[in-house]
Amino acid sequence: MEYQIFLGCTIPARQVNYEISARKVATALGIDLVDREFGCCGFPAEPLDEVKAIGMATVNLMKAAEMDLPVVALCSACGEMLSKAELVLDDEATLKKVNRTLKKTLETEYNGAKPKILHFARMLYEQYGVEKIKEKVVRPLNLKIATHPGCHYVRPKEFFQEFDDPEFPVSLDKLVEATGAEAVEYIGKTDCCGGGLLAVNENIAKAMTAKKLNTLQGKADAIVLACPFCGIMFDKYQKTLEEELETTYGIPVLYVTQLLGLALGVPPDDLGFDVNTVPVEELLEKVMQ
Amino acid sequence: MSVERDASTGVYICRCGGNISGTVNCEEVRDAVKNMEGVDSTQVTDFLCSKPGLELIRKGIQNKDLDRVVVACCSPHMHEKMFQNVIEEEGVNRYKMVQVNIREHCSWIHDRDATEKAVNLVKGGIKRAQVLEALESQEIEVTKDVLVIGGGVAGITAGLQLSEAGFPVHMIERTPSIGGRMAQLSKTFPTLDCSPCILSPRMAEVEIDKNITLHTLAELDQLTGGPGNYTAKITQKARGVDLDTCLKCGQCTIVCPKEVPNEFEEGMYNRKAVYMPFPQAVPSSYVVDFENCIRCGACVNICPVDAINLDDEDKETSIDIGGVVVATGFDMIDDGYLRTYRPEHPQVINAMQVERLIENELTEGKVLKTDEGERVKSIAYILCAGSRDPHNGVGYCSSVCCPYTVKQAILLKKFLPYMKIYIYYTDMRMSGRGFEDFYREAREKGIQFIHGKPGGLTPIPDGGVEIIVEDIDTGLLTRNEVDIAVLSSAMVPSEGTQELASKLGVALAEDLFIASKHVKLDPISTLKEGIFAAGVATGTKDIHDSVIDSRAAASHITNFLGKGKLTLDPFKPIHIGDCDQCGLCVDVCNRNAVKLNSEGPEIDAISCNGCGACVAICNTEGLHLPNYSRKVILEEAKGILEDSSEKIALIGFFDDNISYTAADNVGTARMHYTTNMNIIRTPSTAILDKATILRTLGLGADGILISEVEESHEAELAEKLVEVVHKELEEMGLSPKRVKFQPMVLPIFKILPKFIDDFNKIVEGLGKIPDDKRQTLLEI
Repeated sequence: MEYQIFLGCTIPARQVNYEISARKVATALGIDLVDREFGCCGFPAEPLDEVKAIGMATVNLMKAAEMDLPVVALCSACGEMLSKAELVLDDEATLKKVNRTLKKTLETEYNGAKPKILHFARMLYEQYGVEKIKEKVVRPLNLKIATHPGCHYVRPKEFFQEFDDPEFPVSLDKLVEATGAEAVEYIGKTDCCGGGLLAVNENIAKAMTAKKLNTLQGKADAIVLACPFCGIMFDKYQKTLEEELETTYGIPVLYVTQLLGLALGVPPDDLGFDVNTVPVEELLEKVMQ
Repeated sequence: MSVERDASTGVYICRCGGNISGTVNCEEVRDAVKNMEGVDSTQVTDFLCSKPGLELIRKGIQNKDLDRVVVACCSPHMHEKMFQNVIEEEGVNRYKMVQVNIREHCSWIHDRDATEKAVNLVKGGIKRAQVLEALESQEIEVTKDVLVIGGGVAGITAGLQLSEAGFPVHMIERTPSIGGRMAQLSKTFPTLDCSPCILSPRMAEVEIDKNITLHTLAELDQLTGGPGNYTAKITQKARGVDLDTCLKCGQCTIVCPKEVPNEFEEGMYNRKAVYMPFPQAVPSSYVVDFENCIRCGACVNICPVDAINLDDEDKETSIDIGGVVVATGFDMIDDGYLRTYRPEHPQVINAMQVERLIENELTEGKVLKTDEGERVKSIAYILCAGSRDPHNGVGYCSSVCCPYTVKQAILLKKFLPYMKIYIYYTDMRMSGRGFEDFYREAREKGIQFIHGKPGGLTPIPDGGVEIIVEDIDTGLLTRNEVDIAVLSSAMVPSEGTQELASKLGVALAEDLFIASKHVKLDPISTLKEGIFAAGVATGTKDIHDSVIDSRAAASHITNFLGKGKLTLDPFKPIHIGDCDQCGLCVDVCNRNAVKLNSEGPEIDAISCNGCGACVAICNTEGLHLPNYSRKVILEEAKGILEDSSEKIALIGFFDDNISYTAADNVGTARMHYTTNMNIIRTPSTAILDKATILRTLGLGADGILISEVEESHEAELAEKLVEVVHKELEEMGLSPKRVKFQPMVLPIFKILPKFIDDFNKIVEGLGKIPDDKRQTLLEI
């Protein structure tokens, strides 16, 4: 199996543990990842100028289509933006506007490229298959895991036809269960991490993160997620919240690839745990026993 | 062909007060056709259907001695009969008239080039008019018996009124008792009348009415025949209890060991496998639930009069009827659409279940308790659960949820004054008589109305439900915790409505309720003659409106069957030529209307629906469908295509019932499709044959779209025909893509423009048919 990997901006800059673990998991499963020189997916520009944002995604789509390989995105927002661009470019009026921008800025036009876009976790779930992952597990994990699917991973459903249920998503849970861990049910599972509001109103963003952490206190060994922004909120902000709210959460935050890596027998040192902010030592001890 | 001597034609073009003249230059249309051969009078007027407009036609006939009339205005489905009556009164045969649809099929759907299209359509109409035959209407005797489908308040009301007017009524009801949804309700809004108290006497009347034959546990299998003379085949499921001998002692229920959730109680309580549906049930008797019966025989043994028979069998009956009233009501929307409200959770129930709780608990002096035995102290209603939400439910407003929710809240407050009641609403729609006072009363009683619709509910593990919603009035996010949440769920057509509609041959509308012939002017008639619909079968409404509907339906039947005779349009095939006794006509007819004797085929006018399949299939061209013959159809096409040498021209052959109505609906919805599509109305597309299609191409069409009711006999025939035509086109070196079949059902009429535009793109890609090929096509 071979895929073009779409890293986006946030992961190489701030959440390199996600990238490292994804590459290790791919190797362990025998999946080849091809690196390309993609640009920003356009997502951060969307609230400012939707047409330009779609234009940025379009350039990436055309770049991707130069190779006959599907694209896997690690970041949920990148996956959503690229999928969205493919859908909205079918609309003639949108296409016209996007082409005008592309013509003016890059002297190019959309060529109709429609590469297959998948989130890395969706690829594992749908194309590689949970059963096959189970077969390759060498270190079954005796953990209670709370998955956090986040917003852009499955929603809005128009962009992710025939993928997971947007209201009651299960794919991350199934991947977690493949490692032998238990995926715990909890209230507010599909709630937003708060990250989307960070630039607008930090207090509301943090309150949303805290709400979920409060729910999960004492209920799970770790939170597992698949989006760098969710990672920033739960991992990087956990300490801030502990200080501000004068409480202790201590809930390790793992990317789904880090968890899978552990189960697939990748040495913990190779999974980028040194980038994690919330201490994971206790968790790793439990895993390695 | 030359114009006949008696073909003096008058052409009347309507501006329709801007509806047509807004985009069609009517004077230009007049000037373009006034010099056509045989056209002796052309007039443009403002409202052709008004008295002065009709006067214009009358004067034209009188002064110019017209023999044929073409009116270019709205859809023939609107006023054709009225125009026919007028010209008949003036001495012109009513069938020598053509109504050209330049509104729904032209001015309303095109911004540019509408005049050009209108000219083409009117030319087609004139050509058609000039070859129409004078025909005599047929009069037939009708059966006065009426079939009422559904035994809820709508069916009961219609049945009783019909019986009173002297029509024998056969009422079929799917469940073991009549009463329907209204029997399940506690009180009615806004007067708080006790629902069973006002309905039960009507139900009892049905039981004793000698003119009403009640068939419970019964469903329609098949409807054959035609208006005035239908035959309904019904299956009545085994009841297991003999209605005449049963003493209603109830011993059977007491000994029955099997308990199942009670449908009448919306699953809130259990019943036995042999049971009385509810205390006021009619027929007032017990019934065996064979799906759940474990056949232990305890009930059989204890029954003092041997009324129970566990080997009872389903029964098929056939009834001759003249007309039908469809009163099939509604169901609550499937929980699958409401998943974010967590309906599987015991703290989340629906409003129908609250009706049963009020009836069983509160009116009995009890209080509501949670599963844990705690008093229910707070309750929240979620309005529009599944309504007004095309993504997670239905797009329409269910219209009764606002008033019934207010009613339930007032009742709860009355019985349990300590209860905190919150109503989450999108818009409060309290438009009925007395409803606003009712709403005011609720607010005065302290019931809280919160302007916001929660997207979901969160059940709390230790009991209760969390509701988070943005209050639109304050702009604040609010959080609330209540003991019970009630979903005021959407109403949807009752289960099986689609299957029933297809058995009856009536169409469904976009909302999947039964379509009315005209939403405003003929709401009770369906698109099939002699079949009327009442109550929620045609869209959500309350008891008051359902009763009005039912009385209207009964009066429609009185008009329709009351005279004992019915005038039918004479569009039935007649045998005029040779017959080689091949029998193809007999085989192709799915209504058993064709019989073959030594002289040739004979058509039974009552069973025949005039589809024309037998005409199209005849080897010897010995059958003739008056005014829809190949000659007439081709004349119309010739007129439309006269000026088609430059641009790509498309012809649509649309069946008169569904596809033509769908195209009318597209017009009413002011949607757009390509101007070069011209729709020709056919009784059904089964009348088309290979020669008609190919010659239409020969006359100047570059593409032909045939549209017919999906999954019908006619659609099968059309598909076969298109296959044959494709082969022929390929042999001639023409692309088969020029002729396309498009199945149609009314609920999806909005995609018709896309079908037409996509087809146009294909034909544009193929270009115009070369002239030499046209010549060959004409000679086929």
